[in-house]
Amino acid sequence: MLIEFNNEVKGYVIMSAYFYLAKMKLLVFLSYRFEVFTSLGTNLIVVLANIYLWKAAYKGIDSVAGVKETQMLTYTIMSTLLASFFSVNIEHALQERITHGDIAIDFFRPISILLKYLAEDIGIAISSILSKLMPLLVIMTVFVQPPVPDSPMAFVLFLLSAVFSFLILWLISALISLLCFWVLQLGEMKTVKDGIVLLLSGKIIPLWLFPKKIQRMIEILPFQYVYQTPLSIYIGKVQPEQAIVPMLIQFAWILLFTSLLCFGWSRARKRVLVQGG
Amino acid sequence: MAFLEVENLVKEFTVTKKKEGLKGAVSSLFHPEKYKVRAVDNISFNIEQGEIVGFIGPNGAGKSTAVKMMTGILHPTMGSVKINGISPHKNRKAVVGKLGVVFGQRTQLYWDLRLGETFELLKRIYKIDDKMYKDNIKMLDEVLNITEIIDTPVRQLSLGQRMRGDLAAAMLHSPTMLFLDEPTIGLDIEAKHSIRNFIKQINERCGTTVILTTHDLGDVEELCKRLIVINHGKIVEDGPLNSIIERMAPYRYLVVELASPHHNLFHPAAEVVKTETLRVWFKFDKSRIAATELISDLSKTYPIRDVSVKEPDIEDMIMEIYKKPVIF
Repeated sequence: MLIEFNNEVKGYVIMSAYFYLAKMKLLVFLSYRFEVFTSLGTNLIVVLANIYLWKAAYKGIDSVAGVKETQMLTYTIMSTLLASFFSVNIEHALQERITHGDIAIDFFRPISILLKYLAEDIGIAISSILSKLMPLLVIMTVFVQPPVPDSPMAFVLFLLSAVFSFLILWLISALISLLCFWVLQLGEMKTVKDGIVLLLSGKIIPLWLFPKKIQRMIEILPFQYVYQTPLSIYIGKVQPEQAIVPMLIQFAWILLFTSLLCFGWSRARKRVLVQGG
Repeated sequence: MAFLEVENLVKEFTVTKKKEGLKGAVSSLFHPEKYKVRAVDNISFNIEQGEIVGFIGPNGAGKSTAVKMMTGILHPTMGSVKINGISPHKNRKAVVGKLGVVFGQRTQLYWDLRLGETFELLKRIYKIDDKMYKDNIKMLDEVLNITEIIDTPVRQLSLGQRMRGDLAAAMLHSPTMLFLDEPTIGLDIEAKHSIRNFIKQINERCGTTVILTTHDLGDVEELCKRLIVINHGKIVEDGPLNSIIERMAPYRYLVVELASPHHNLFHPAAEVVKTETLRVWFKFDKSRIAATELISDLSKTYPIRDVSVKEPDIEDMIMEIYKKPVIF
């Protein structure tokens, strides 16, 4: 994929295919209006449950591990917003296409197949900003509290870090979906991965509340760099000048996973089976 | 150098044998019994630019697997494929940019969006410039009436319309070679006709090489000058349609209409294969007896009102080929 990618950095003409792929997914997802309401409903329930959990936990306590109640509420609101933006579809898309044999059509196109799926997932993510993230942000601002960043600088770094987070999450999903080429059905692999991310990424409970020993173990895993890193920067738990280290680690994970993915892809490529004639 | 060169192509699949019953299922889970199947067994052939070649064979003969290897989707176990001198397995993107493909049973169009949206995407994927895009849309509109469906969402198209859309999508970048996998499957007579007409037209106008797999012998008869017949993973016939028919089915039918009912018709060099009240079908080998001779012999003994000679059709020929056991 890296080699393919290098050949492709020749300018706008080629990139425009990926832009258009993203745009088409955006158009498709915006046409599913019913899903906008159902996902808004689910997200609201989740975020409200979290908000009341933290309100109860903070009763009579000023701050925990240097984090105040309003910061924690911002953390949990922003975590839900990020989750609605991080909608990664590659596992589902690739499995569908492999089990139905439509993967054959992907191989017929003179573009990189993995970048095609990345472009489509970016398209879905952008549609989520409009259809899921924005409505939730408005409701939270009006009825709970506006999730304000610690400083303008924190906001900028948060944006960059969140993009890294998206890439890490996408690469993990892409690596898992490569297994499709060997086993055809992923079964509950996606659910298991989602569960691990939920627990170890600080998505619901920040890792600083975990026992020290477990914290150290989680630190060597990539998951906290998916949620906790950008969120800590946003609320000011990690100050902008300290942010460089976790963001570099994020970047290192991206590099590692990208090379793993390229290697796995070259192996998977030779194992393609086309189902159904 | 031929346009498409296929040399000693082999594809083996490892298949897990599933045992019977619950006990068998459990034992398969722990000790899967695996064995190898040769789907494509050492095939070689060349195809020249501008040919329309029919790829036929019974279900499970290996023709789809062969086509998938020719287009670079599957990696062969052994052997090589070269399109215009380049291997699709080593340099996928360079090769597929010049190929078009249509699968009758699956669509490459975006289901939820209008047809034109898929065209716009393909325009970018294949880097088609505006002039070529416009010219091709115009050409495709002449043969396929594409503008009447271009603004309809794909899910609302009928099967025939969707097929027209798929064909247009495959031709948008003027590919030098077009792979059609059962393009007329499930279509009505009129739609079939317009699709065959389209294939003929693009072959004549653009010189596109067409490789067609089909079970519809009408497609073969109307389009293909050359036929490659695959059975049990091997090529059993390769050549012009007429000469294959000649070789596989050298007999003719003589249909005789009698003036009055007559039983026990007989001729030493022909065989009665079917009788209706006044009509009798004789099957004869034209190398053993000429039709004129047979007619004059018969008219001497029987009261004949009318005769006609029927050539064996492609269906007879295919049946003969499929029945033939393969010598390993």
